[in-house]
Formats: sequence, C-alpha cells, structure tokens
Amino acid sequence: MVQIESYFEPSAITLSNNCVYKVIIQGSQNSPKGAIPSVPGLEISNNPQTFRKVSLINGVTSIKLELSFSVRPKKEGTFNMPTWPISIDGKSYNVPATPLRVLAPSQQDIINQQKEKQQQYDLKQAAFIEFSMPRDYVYVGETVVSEVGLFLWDRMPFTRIENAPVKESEGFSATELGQPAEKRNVLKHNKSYTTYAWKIGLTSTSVGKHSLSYHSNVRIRTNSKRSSPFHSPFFNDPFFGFGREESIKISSDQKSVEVRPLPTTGRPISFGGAIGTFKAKSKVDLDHVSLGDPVRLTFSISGRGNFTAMPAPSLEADKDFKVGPPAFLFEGDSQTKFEGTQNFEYVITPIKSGLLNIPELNFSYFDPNLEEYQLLRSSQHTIRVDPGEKWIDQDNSITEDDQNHPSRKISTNDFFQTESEPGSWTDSFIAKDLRQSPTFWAIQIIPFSAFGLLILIGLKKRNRGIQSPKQQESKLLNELKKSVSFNDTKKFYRCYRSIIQFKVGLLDDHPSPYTLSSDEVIALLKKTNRGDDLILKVRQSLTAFDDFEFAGEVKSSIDLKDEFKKALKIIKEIK
Amino acid sequence: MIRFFLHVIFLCSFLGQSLSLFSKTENKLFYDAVRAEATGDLPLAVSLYEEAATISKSPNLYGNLANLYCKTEKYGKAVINYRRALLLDPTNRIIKNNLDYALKIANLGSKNSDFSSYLDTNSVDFWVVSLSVLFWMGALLLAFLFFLGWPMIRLIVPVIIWCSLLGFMMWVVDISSENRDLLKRELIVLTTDLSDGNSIVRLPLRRFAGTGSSANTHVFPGESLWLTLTDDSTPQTHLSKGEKLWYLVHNRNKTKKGWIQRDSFAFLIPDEQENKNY
Repeated sequence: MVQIESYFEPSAITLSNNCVYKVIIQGSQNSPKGAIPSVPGLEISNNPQTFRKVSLINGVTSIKLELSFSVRPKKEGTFNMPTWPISIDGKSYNVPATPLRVLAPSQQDIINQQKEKQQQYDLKQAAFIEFSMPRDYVYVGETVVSEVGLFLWDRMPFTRIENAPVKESEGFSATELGQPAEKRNVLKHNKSYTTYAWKIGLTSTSVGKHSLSYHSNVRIRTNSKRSSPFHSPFFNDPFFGFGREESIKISSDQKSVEVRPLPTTGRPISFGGAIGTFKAKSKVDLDHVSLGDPVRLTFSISGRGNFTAMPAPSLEADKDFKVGPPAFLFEGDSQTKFEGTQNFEYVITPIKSGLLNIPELNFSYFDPNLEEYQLLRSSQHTIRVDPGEKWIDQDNSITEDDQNHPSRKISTNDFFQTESEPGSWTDSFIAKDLRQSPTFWAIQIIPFSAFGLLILIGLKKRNRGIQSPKQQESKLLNELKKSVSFNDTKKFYRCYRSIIQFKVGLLDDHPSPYTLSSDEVIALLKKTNRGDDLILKVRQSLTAFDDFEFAGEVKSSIDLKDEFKKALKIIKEIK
Repeated sequence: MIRFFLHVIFLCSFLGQSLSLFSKTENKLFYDAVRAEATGDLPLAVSLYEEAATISKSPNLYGNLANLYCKTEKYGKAVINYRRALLLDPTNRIIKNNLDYALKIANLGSKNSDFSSYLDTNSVDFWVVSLSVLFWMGALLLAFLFFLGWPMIRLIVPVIIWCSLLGFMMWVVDISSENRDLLKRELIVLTTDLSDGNSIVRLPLRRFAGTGSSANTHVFPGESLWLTLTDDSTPQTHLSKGEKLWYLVHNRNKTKKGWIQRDSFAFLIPDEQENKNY
C-alpha cells in the first residue's frame, strides 16, 4: 500500500529565506515519475534530493522514500502547491496539496541581505577590469583601439600583477601589450585606486556576434590559515608582510560586439583590405633628373585604421619608368599601429628623356563611419628628364682588335661607372663546399650499391663455377697452349678435341657438348651447313685424336707448335 | 569556424606581404646610395652601400662601393671591394678592368689581378664532382668486367690507368681546395695612419708584434696577404700590451712576412672570422 504526503518545511518563512518542499512516499522505494507543477511566486528546483529509509518497527518493515525540493520565494503571500500526479511502479497516485506562507522580511533579514550585498560589492570593487570599445559593432578586418584598465584598490595588499589582461574572444586578434600606463590615487566609487592601462589594437577576424572580455590574475596577501603556527592577530596581519599569498582572477564584464561583413556593393577593384579614415598625399624628391637617375615617390596615407593589414598600392611600370618594389615606413603609434602615417616609398627610374608624368597611384579603403568605400589618388607629378651621357656597354664596345690596338685601349673615363641596379643578391661570397653537403654523400650510395651488387653477384658466380662460353673456350685454349709449351701430346689432343666438341656443340646449343662422338660432331657440322673443307679438316683431326686415344698411334715427327697453329685456324673457322 | 580560418588566412597573407616587402631594405639602401652618389654626396653613398653590404651581397653593390673608394683615393678599400665583387661575379669584365686600373694606381701592378684559374675556389665543386664521376665510372666498369668473369690479369692495365687518373684528379681537388682555404685567410692591406693623404705610404710588416719594432718589409694598401697558421691551423696572433691584436702574415710566395695590426687590414671574406680553423 503506497501512501504519499507532502509539506513545506517550514510552512512559513520570511521573504529572504528558503525552505524545502518535501514529498514522502511510504511503501515503495522505486523512483517515482512525474512533473512538479510551477507555482507563480516560488522558484522550485527541478533536481530533488532523494533519501531512502527502511526501518523495522515492532517486527513490521517500513519503507520510505523522501524527495526534497529547495524553494525560494520571490514575493510575499500565501502559496498553495496544488495536487499533482505521480507514477510509482506503473500506478498513478496524487501528491496532496500543501500551503506555504511567505512573510515580509524581518529586520535581521534585511540587515543580512544588505551586508551580503555590500560584501559582494566591496569584493568586486577591490579589483576590477574595465575596457572601452569605440562602437558596439565593427567591420570584419577593421582595427579599433581598446583601452583596458586594471583597477586595484589601494587598501588591498596586492603584491603583484601576475599577467597583463588576456583577451577572451575568438572573433578578434589583438596586438601585443606593452608596458602599462600607471596612475595612482584614481578616485572611483569613493575609493582610491592604482590603475594600469594598456592600449590594445583589436582586429576583428570573423563575422558574427562575439562577446569580448578580459581577465587577469593578481597576487594578494591574505590571512594565514587557522592551522598556521603564526595564527595570531599580529602574525596574521597581511599589511605587516605576514600571512600568505594567493592568486585571484579578475574578470571584466562581457561586452557583446557585432562584427559586420564589408559591403560588396561599390567595392573598388583596387580595394586591398584597408579600413579606417585616411587622407593621402604624395611627393617626389626631385623634379629634374638625368636619364637613369632614380626618383623617390613617396605616397603617404595618414589617419586611423588597420595599418598592419594595409597593402601597398600597386604602381605598375610603364614605357617611361622602371619601378622598384615599395618600401614601408610607418610613423605613429607602433604599439597598436592604429593611428599614424604609413609611407610607401617607390624608387622609380626614368627610361626615356623629356617631360614625363609619373603614373598615378590609387588607394581605396572602407570608411566604417560613412559605411562606404572611398578612393584616394596620388597627385599628378611631372618630372623633367635630361638625356644625360650615353651609356657604353664595355662588353660590347671592346673587341679583341680594340684590346690589341694600343691607341684604342679603354679610356680611363670609362672606369668607375655606377651600376644603377643592384643585380642579384646573395648571402655569401663562396659557395658551401660540396663535400660538406649530406646530399652529395647520399648520392654516392647509388653507385656504391651498384658496385657492391656487381661484385657480390660476380663473386657468387665465380664460386659456383658458372662460366660463360667465352670463358670456357678461353680456358680450353689456355690449356691447349700449356700442353704445347710442355710438349704434352696427349693433353694437346684431348684439349683440341674438347674445344672442337665444345664449339660444335655451341652451334646447335647442345646441352652437353663434351659427350659428342666424332660422328655426331661431323653430323652436326653438316646439319649447320659448314663447308666441306672444314668438315674434312675436322674429320681428319678427330680421326687423329681417336687413333691416338684408342690405338696409341703417335707420329714420331709430330710438331705440336705446327699442330697448334693449324688447330687455331680450324677452331676459328668453327663459328 | 571555416570562415574564421579564412579570415585568419586573409590577415596572415596581408602580414606576409608586408613582411616580404620590408625585407627589401637592401634594395632601398642601394637605390638611396645610387641617388646620393648621383647628387655628389659620396660619404653618404659609401655609408649606405656599406649598410646594404651588412644585409646582403651583390656584385654591383661591391663594384659601386669600390668605385667610390677609388674616387676618394682609398685604394685598399677599393681593391678589397673589387675583389669581393669578382668573387660574386668572376666573369664581370667591367669590374676586372676597374680592378686592374685601381691596382695600377695603387702601385701594385695589374698582375695582382690574376686571381682566377682552372684551379681557383670556384672550381672546387666541379673537380669534386668530376673525381666522383671518374671514380664511380671506373669502379662500376671494373665491377662489371669482374661480373662478366674477366680474368684478373686482364684487368691490371685498366686499373693502372684508372688509378692514375684518380690520382691526378685528387691532386687537382687538393690544389683547388687549398686555394679555397687560402682565399678564406686572405686579407687586404687597407691603409695606415702614416698616410698623409697626398701620397701612398707603405705599411710596415714588423719583425715583432709591436709598434716599436722595426719593419721586416713594407706593403702597399691594396696588397694581398695571407694569415700564417699555427700547427693547430689557427691564425698566429699576439695581443700586445695596449690590447692591440697582431697577426703574423705573409704574401703569396712568402717573400714578405711580418706582423700586422688588426685595424690595418680587412679580410677578403668578411664572414670568415680570424679565429676560425682553416
């Protein structure tokens, strides 16, 4: 049997206090299902604390489940928590209604509230960060200057600033923080502060709404812990240098800043990303030069804007001028690069004489105040270029004939001519030694590997006794030669026969040429259409071998040297 | 998120462009120097060229600088800058002619300008590569013949020819490397305090490292000398009482030698510090 009761504890409270709404379910320990109704004027938490209890009283088991909801009143009056359904173990029950009286706050409550507020207020006023934004919206890529101020109450024992304020926003990039401007005895909220102010150039990077805030950490000396052996009124006083240091985080309020995209309508072609309010002026340092003399054109853009992301306006070379790359020179607030003058210096060299107009420079930017694109042009500059002396290229002008002719040697007037172009730049006078390059040595691995491989395979081949036909023939010929030198007739005939067998066998790719009989040798020669003369000679030789080998017939007057010459001829003919 | 990265890339590209243009300072200095020279402000032009030379190097920069020194009769500095220009562009005939002329008016004779040969510092890499190619071609050919099963006795002659060629090439590499090392420790006599500006005064190479010592021999500003090395390949130096650093030097064929004070000369290759091993 499930029984449900509910009540507020206590049933009457003052406005500044909280109470607990309790639902007690007896007879089940399973979690109930249901939704607590909302009561106007009361703030009831949705996450109740659950308490389960099983007890044995007089032999009877009692099971109890207690749900506690914290309740905060918002106004005075009598409130009634109505009956609301709840489901336990699949069955539906009703939680009975119960009243709550909220009385007016007592004097003590008011005092406590005021004290708490004051403490929070004091704590917040002890150290805080303030920062300024010129507008609550910016354009993407636009740079604005924000001044971030850290206020530290003089009466608090701050020991040091751990870190300068750190930006908390993904939608902005910030310039580096330099040294802060320190001010003492700044009065605010009827308190005296020491302030540290940083100027930061903020550049928006992505479109959308971004919240922006800063935080910093400062170290403060506080009371020692109660367990400290120095826990005494004297040793506990942080102003006397006692106590301990703690780091506290100080955060500014969050500001919401809208980052708008740049309008696409009316965007000039020359727009390169400059956003701000600018003025332009241009000047040339010389208006009368000789042909080839460089002239410096300075195009200055001054005002306020994103100087860090400002590209140089392009000045194209034309048929009258050669244009060098521009040099950048910024004059102004180098910390934020927000306000100042950006000078672009172009070195231009006239390549023809006469009155020449320097090409016009166009610079376009987006003005966030007017919310439209603006175009600035350089002034019209005309320079007078005198023809000057004609340049003689020595390489072309000096011929071999000139060099040899004493009267036509190079005049000393032609020495020491100035080159007006620097030519190619390099870092060192002598190239790095190739032998110190790891690449050079790495490349050596390739031929070394091939060399090693050839030697290895060659060695293996030799060890296995694999010989090419040429080698085998060469070996047999050597043997033949030796037999002649030793006058060894028997050996001579055997070698001679082997050579003939080997060479004839080669003609038909015979797998084992040394097993060929005399008839087979002759048959193979015939098969391969050798001349009759050769066949006859070979036949005679083979007969002589056979006679010697099997009949032991040896001509007494045999001249091995002569035979060797004949043999060589025959061997040569067998191809 | 993608848009955020796109914007970051957009900004980075701008910053990158700006940085790359800032790096053109040597160009700016060069053009400024040319302009200063054109307007007749030679001291300013010299200082601008010198400043550009600390950032980067180009033959025209050193050529122009040498011309200015020549015009202001500082022949030692003129010669060293012509030499530097020729190191960067050895085939530049204009600079060669200017150097010849500068050497002539510095009483050094134009034969001193013959600094290039087949075995000079620029040819080291060529000879090293040639040696490497010859070595491996020969080795691979021999290995191939060995692979084919050629009898060893037949390989003797090619091996002897190959070894001879290798020996020759190694000698060439050694000579050109030595020339490179010589270049690294070459110095040019600049000037002397004794110069009155009207005539060229010779600089003494002293018997001992001290201004009170008598001269062993004399050298002209613009003349090339080389550091004498100790056994451990460091320059032979001496620090005199007045914290003055002296170097023991000699000329190319070692007919002149003696001690010279550090501020009387400049190294041909300024990056090579005198304390380095050679």
